[in-house]
Amino acid sequence: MAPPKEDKVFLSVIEQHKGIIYKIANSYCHHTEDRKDLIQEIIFQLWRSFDRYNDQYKYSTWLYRIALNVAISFYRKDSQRNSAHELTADIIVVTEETADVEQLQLLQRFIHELPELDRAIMLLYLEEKSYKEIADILGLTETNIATKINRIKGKLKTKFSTIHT
Amino acid sequence: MEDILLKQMWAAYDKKLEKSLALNHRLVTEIQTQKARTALRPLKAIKIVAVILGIIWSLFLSILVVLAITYMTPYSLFFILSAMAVIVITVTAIVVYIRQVALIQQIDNDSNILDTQKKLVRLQLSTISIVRILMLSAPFYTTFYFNKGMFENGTIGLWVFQLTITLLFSALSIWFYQHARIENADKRWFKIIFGSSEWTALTKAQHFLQEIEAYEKE
Repeated sequence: MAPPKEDKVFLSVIEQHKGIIYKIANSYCHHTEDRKDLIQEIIFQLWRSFDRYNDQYKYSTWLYRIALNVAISFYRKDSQRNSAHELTADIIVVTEETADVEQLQLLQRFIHELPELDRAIMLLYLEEKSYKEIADILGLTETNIATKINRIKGKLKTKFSTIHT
Repeated sequence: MEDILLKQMWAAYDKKLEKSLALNHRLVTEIQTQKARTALRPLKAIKIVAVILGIIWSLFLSILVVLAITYMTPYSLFFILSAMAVIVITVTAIVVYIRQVALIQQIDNDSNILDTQKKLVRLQLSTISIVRILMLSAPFYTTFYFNKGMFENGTIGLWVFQLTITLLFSALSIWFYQHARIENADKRWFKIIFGSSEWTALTKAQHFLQEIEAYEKE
C-alpha cells in the first residue's frame, strides 16, 4: 500500500490532467462504455507507473506517454480485450454537455479517422506541445515530427474543404 | 481550415471540458488499491505455467531416457533418440518462452510510444515461433514406441503403414516450420491452422509493425 502522501499527489495530478485523459480516451473510443473502460485502464496504468515517475520530465509528458500507449493498445485490441474492470461508474464524469459546435464535431471526427499514430501526433499538436516534447513522447526526431504534422494538417484541410464545397 | 482556427477550436473545447469534467475521487482511490493488477499479468502467468509444464515434461522424459540407457537393449535406441529429440525441442521452446516473459518485463508504458508499441506487437507475433518449434517434435512421437516385438513379428503392412505415418509427420513438420511465418499470414492455410480470430489479430499486428517501421523511416 502506498503512503497516503503519494496517494494525494497522484490524485492531484489526475485532477489537474483529467481533461487530457478524457480527450485522449474520446479520440480513441467513440462508445461511452469503451471510453469508460479506457479511462479506468489509463488511470490504473498511471498509478502503476507513478512510483517510477522521472522528475526530469514534466508530469504532462509522462502522462501523455502512458495515456497514449494505453489508448493505442486498447484501440488495437478492440473487441479482443478482456473486460477485467470491476468498477461500473464513470471516473471522469461530464457534468454538462459541451456545446456541440459543428466544426468541433467535424474536427473530432476527422481526428478519429486518422491512423492511430497520426492521431497521437495531432492530439499533441493541438494541445500546443512543442515539437521537441512531441518527439520525446513518440520516440521520433523533431524533423520527422514537423514533416508529419504538415502532412496531417494537409489531410485535415482537405477533409474540411471537401465538406464545405 | 487555417492552422490557427484548428488550435482555437481545440482550445475552446478544452476550456469547456475543464468546466464540465468532474473527477470521481472515490473511484480513483479504489484503483489505487489495485496496484497488483496489470493488463499483462494473465499473459505472463500463462507463459510461466507453460515454462513449468515444459520443464516437468523434459525432466520426466530425461528420467525415462536415463532408465532406458541403464537397461539398454538395441531396440530401446529408438525410444532414447526420439525422447532426446523431444527434450531438445521442448527445451528450445522453453528458452523462447522465457525470452517472451523477459520481453513482457521490459514493456513499460512510460517509454516512448513507438518503442512500447513495437515491443507489444513483436511479443504478439512471437507466439507463432513457439508453435513452429513444438511442431518439429511431431515425427518423434511416431517413432519412440518401436520395439522388439515390431521388429521380430511386424508384417510388411505394419511397417509400410508405420513408415508412411513417420514420413508424413516429418514432411509436414518441416514444411510447417519453414512456412508458418507471419509473412504467410495472408495465406488460406494459415488462416485455417491458426483460426480466424488469431489470424486477424496476427495480421493486424504485422501490419501495425510495418506501419511503425515505415513511420520511423519517413
